[in-house]
Amino acid sequence: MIGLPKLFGFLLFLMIDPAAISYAQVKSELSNSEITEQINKIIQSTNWTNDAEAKAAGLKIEALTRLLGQNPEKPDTIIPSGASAQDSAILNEDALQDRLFKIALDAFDAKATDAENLSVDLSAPVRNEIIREYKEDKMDSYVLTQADMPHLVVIDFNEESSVQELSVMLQNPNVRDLVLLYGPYANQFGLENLLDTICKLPLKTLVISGFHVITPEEAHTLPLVLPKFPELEVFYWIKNGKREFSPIATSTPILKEFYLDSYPSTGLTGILEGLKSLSVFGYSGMSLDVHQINVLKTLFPHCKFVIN
Amino acid sequence: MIRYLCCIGLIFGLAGFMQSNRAFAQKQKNVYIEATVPAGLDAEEQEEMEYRLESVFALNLKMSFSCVTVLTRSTFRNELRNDYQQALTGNGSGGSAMFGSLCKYDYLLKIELNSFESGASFVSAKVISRRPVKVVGEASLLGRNMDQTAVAREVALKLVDDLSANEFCPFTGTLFLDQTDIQHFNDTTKTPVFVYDPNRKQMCEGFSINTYEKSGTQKTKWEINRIGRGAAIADLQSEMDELIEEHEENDCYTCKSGRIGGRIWTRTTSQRFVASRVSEESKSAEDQTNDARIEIRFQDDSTYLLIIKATSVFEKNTDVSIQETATGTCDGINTRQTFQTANTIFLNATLGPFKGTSSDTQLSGSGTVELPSNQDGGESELVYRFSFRR
Repeated sequence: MIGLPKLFGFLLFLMIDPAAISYAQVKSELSNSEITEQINKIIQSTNWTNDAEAKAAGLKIEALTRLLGQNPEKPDTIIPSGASAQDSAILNEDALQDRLFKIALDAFDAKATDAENLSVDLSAPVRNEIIREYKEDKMDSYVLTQADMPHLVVIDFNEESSVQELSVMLQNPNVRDLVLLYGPYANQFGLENLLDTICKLPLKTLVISGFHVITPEEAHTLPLVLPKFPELEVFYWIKNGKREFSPIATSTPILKEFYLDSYPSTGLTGILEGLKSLSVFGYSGMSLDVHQINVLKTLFPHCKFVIN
Repeated sequence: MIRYLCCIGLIFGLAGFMQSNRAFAQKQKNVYIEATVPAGLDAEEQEEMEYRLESVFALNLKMSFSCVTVLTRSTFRNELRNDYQQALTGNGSGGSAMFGSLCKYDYLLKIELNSFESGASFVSAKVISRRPVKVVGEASLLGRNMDQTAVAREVALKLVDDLSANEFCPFTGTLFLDQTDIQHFNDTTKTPVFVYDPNRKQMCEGFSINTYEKSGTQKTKWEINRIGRGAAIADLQSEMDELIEEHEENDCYTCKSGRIGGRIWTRTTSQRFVASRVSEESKSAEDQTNDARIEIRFQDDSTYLLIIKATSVFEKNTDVSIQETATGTCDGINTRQTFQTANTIFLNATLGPFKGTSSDTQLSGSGTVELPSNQDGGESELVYRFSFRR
């Protein structure tokens, strides 16, 4: 008992429901007028007094009549094989509405026992396209060449990617300026190990910040021995706790700018001694008295002091 | 105005459009600029040339893109020192946060200068995003009889154009789509029926009159916030009510028992669909988007298209009620079934072309579109308005 409009939608529905194909296959290719003509011929040619002949004719007429009822008066909508996305979407709209109806009928026929399973996620193709586009947004599409490698590398150990960036950076022949920002991902290395690793790079600028968290117990242990950075010109040691250094002149023979904070003031002259190229010294966090400042100025008469 | 639009919806309007005032701040983009000049210059000349090249590009980027902050290799040390001093005087954030915000860059702009004996200079520039690694803009120029800085200026302008076309500072804002679909369809067919009745040994002749009537109202409202280049967050309200009534009067209906005679059959199917949840299968920890996208496709003729996609959650959201009755020759039928089915709604539309280019600071538009109805008697209308800024 399929009404004409429903059949119209039903044909559209074929593109998403292969199970409906068997139904479509029995649909007559004859027009309504051709079917009526055939019925009339059977009526006229049948000997209705012969039971067998009458029964056979009756069955034929019944079958033809059923086809008559199924044929739409409007031409069927055909989905072209090369339909554009626009066409498909518009057709889908039809299909969706009739889909609801179809689901309802199917469910009714199945006594509503499995209505949920009859549903189809018609948004899935569009949703998959959206998911793919978001994935593409996040995908690398370029391989860095040596020429693309930057001189400045910043590794923030708060980011999961920092471990990989560290390994990439070690292969970067261009790196000259390095900024290491402490985060939980640094814990697996330890500060000493990191310093031992990066000292192999031809660094000119080095910023190390926030590493007091990594080894709090070390703050009062042995002074940190800085490995050799023969080309280092600028060094920032910021927010790394009160860990003391051994004298750094042998590690950084050409250091020009050195910035510290929270460093015990009593040990300053010790670590700075021998830095012949030092032109700027920044110090903050711990107060220096006039005497200490005068000692530093005597040691480094051509150095600019940036002191809090 | 609408070149092509396809919008799917099971719709019904709720009173009041969702006017959430979600605002999404434009994400600042840090660009680190680094120039490489030919070997052979002394250190001072090399530094000077790198500084000039980096400055040209830094200036052009800052003037063209409000979302950009730049750091150049030449000025990196000065910037560090300034930040340190500001921290000392209490004007900066200080410490690792200070250096993080200063140094961490999202994009690397590599500039390369090559000089030839003929006097020609070749300048190339490439902007590479760090994560994911993509080239988001590039430009180059071989300049003859031109000063190297002049060549660099030309390349910088070309680079700005290329970055604009790729929405380096993306257009962000809101698109409202409001679709209303009213359907009313009815159809009656009268078909002759001829059935041989073996019990009576005669033909039953008559008509089968079938009536099909469908009416419904659907309204869907989408509010889609574009928060990045393509990325969006959508809100949805959609409702649909539909009633389908089928009626058949058959003079020669064959019962299961084989008996043939008149029968009147009716089936009334009513459905109510409600959807308000946009699916979130593309959502990730770093991107708080849901399954929605708005792509702005700039075209060569100074127009652009909006390509919009969004989907709702596929869930049980449709109440179905079916009542069937039959009277006449056979045993009577009078049944009623109610149940729920799962359904979903999606938006897959292209709006435009609209006049505008990627270098505009604002793109906006509004209009009403009469959508082609899929059935006779239906009316479908789409009202849209949008405003994006960069």
